Amino acid sequence: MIDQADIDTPATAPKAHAEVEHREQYAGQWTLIWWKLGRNKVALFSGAVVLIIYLVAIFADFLAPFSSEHYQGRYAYAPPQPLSFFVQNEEGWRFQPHVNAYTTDIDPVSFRRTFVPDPEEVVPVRFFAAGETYHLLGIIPTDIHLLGPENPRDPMFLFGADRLGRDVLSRTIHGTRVSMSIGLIGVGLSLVLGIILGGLSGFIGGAVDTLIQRIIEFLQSIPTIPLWMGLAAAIPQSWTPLQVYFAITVILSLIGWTSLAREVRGKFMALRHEDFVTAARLDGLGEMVIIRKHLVPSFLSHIIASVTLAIPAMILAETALSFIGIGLKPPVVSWGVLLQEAQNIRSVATAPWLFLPGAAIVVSVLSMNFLGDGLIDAADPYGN
Amino acid sequence: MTLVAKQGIRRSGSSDRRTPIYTVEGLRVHFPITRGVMRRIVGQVKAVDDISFIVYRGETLGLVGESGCGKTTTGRALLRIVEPTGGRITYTPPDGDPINVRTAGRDELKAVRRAARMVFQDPNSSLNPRLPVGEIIGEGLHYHGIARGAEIEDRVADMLRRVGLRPEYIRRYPHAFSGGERQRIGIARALAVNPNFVICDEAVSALDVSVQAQILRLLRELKDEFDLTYLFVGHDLAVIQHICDRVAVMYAGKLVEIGPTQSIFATPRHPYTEALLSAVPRPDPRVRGTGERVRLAGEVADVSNLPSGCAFHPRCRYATERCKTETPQLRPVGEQMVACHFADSLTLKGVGSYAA
Amino acid sequence: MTQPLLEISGLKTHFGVGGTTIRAVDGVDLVVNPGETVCLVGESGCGKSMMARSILRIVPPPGQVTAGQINLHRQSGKVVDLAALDPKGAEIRSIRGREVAMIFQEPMTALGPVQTIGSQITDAIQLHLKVSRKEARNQAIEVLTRVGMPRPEQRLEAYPFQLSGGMRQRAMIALALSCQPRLLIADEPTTALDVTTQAVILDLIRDLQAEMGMAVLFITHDLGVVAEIADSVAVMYLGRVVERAAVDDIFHNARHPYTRGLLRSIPRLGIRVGEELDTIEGMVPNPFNRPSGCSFHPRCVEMIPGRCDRVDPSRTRLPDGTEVRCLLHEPHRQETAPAGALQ
Repeated sequence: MIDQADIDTPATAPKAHAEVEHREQYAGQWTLIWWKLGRNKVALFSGAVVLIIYLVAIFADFLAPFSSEHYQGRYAYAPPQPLSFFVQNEEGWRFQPHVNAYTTDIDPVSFRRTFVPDPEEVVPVRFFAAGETYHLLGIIPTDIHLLGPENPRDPMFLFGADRLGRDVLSRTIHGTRVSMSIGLIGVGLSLVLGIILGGLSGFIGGAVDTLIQRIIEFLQSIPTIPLWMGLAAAIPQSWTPLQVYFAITVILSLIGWTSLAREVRGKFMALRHEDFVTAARLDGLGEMVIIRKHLVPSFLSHIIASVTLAIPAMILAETALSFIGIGLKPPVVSWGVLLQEAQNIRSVATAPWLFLPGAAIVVSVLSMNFLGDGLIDAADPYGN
Repeated sequence: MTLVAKQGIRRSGSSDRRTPIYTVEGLRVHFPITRGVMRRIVGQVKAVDDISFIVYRGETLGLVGESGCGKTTTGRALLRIVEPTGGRITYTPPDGDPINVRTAGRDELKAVRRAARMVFQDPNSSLNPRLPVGEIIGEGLHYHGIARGAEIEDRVADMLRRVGLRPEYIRRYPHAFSGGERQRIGIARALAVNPNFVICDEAVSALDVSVQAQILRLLRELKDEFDLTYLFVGHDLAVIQHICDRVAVMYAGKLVEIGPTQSIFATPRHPYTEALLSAVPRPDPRVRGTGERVRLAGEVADVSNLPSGCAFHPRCRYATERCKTETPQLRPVGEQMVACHFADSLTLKGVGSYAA
Repeated sequence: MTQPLLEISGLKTHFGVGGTTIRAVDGVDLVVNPGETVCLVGESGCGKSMMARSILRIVPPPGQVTAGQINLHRQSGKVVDLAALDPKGAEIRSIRGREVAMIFQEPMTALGPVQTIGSQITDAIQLHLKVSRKEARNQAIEVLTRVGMPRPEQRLEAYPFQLSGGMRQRAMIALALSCQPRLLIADEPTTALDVTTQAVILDLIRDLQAEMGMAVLFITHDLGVVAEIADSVAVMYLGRVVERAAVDDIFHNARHPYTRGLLRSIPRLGIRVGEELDTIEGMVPNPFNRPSGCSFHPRCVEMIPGRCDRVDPSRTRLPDGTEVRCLLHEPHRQETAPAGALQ
């Protein structure tokens, strides 16, 4: 064709009328998805929240004033202190971040200690305060915390303290790590299983498909809580917290992969007979290349959206397991573990701040869900 | 081979028309109907059932019929997009030995798919929306090992010009184009690897009238320019008549009539062809109500449960007892080949009898 | 001349999408007389379907009828402007299905999948006519017989998915005709059908019309179908009727260059093999990006530079009754008459 290359345009060329260039004409899938998502303000905002939550998880040591184990027994059940930035003295207002220390009373009848913030006694706090040492990102040794009391022995309990006098804020921040990563890793495992098994099911079809589908149906028919309980109970007591953590992740993803596999299978089935896949086959592409170049990019955005919606389910599942005491156990700190410790009538009545980790769960699950919904809408930018 | 030979002899035309490029003998595409967990086969869908025809070099053969008649499946079987379950398909390259497409190995099949290409019906589903036009058209060049790197881009730009699009469009995505332009892209993809045979599978059916005419004209120009042979699968008889040298009519998986376009349209020999021609709306209000219009009763035969004898007999107004029991074979009648017991004796109406 | 059944003037149906407006129907005038078949013809995207939906006020959101009148002369003698009615109100609902019925390209979208054909038809009859269940059932059988459904009593019990394409189309027509409407709007009812089935359905619509005396507004892109069925024709391009004439004039004395181009570009049976078709160059412009002046001018072979790209042609009524929107047919508007003085 090139040897007979007299390049004149055929007579049927559409009349070249004033061409208006649009950036849309050059926009690929991901750009279009991004533009579409950009129009959904709720999803965008939620995405920012999710990003922040993951940053919190990564930099938990730095953001938390104390380590998760730090305790001051005399401040057990101390209520939250408000953080103020200015102190007033005779010279007027001065910038000095601080909290107010407590005065303690012991109830003569119940012998219960009650704390009252003392407006007179200022506990100065500072940003980038030196505190306990830790390794930032696991490598850089440092003792700088975003916020901390100038004197590490002073009380600073922005979210209050638990029964051992541990800072609830610090523990919630540290819990972010486990809770958010268990969702991510669990879904990652489900995704691998789901794509491989769903892909096989959809691509090979026939008996393989039937077998995998029956397995999925069987797994989905098992009531989840008893299954989890059974599996979790089987985790040996001697395992280290890290081993338990991974065991729990595997248990969660064992159920989670089924719906992803179904989705992947459905996409494979639908796409396999699309004309553009047939055309690619005629263009001489091998099956693996077709999968990589045509099939996967066609459903990847849908899968990402589903995954975003699967993560909150994992987070809730972990919380549920830990809450009923068969999931993660102290000293591991997760939101579920924290809530489990709030499981008594006393905390409901006198220390409601112990439920603040629950708020963290609600915020993260909600924002994940909003983001996921937005992604589902944006995942196919070619509709309409 | 006798049937094939006869078709060849009956073709009046230049000598190169008689060189077969694709030879189809006794092609069958049956799909099993399975039931139950054990996938027990309880029947066969005879989508294509024992059809034979030749496509000659340089001609345009039309394959026409109503939905479900097997015309698309036939077209796809020629490239083994669907696997034939019986018969023989031979592709004869202009210089080289004939290739048995049905038994071709991977490399041979790849060679066939390079020489014989396909233009799809729906330009929306046949172009991957996630790839820029340059990659869509250049894919065949790359994977058939015809060109590499920058050379691909040059040839793609050249193809775009030839189908009437601007080469600057190479980096645009399919959604930036209208339906007609997308079909031009589909044609460019088919022709990029320099084929000599193109199957146009309802290539203009999804397009608007004014665009359809543009694409038909383009297809004709490209045919001359690239020395192509077309198998034009379609249901619109007016389009078929416009572009095809010969026409094959299918009904319920079988070929019922084949022959030169002029003679089939002027003097159809099969009652189904007559009914089909009669049903085409004439774009002239003045011929409304003139001539007797044949109307078919009942439904298209179910290919999973074909009537005995001639599959068309329940709807045929000329049917006799013989049609219910004996399956008619394709045989030469005049310039055509017809599968009807009464092809010699019936006088059927063609298009001429309606023309104003 | 008898009183028209439906008179549409200046109808505009617009879609507001993200700050921009798509003018799907942009100032359409149309008249349907009792018992007449009017064909609305145009290419995809010309607004013909939205036009039909506007009449029954079933435009999908964000679309809206924004201007114009749709005057329907009701059976009672009263004239109602459908464009002014509340699309969810009682009055329009008493008209839909009763006086104006609609059939669609895809019968499965109009027929409910979980109800039998019979119960859908009897429901429709009972909704509009005060008859007993038994009487409604008898009428349903009658209407199914009339649309040529074999074994109508048994088909009453059938679900839509059990019927073939042609039979489904018949069932939908039966449903539409069950209350003997005075106007049937048919939106591409034969496009999805094979030609042999199409021919049968067209015959059926024509016969039923003759028998019941209803008017038909038939929407199609197929000029062959137009020639078979129309009394008068309106050709649409980019939301406007560019030419409106009797069917014979459209095919033998077309005035608008677009109509002429369309006619020249359809392949006809009976032409010699290999005969060239004329084409209309270019393609239908993007509705976001409507050309200035006459919206057809970039594709028009008779375009007058300096005029057609500036002046938006108004509707001109020619002596033989044809109405056309084209500067070629405007009697020197700028010289002799102020804009708008012409009908």
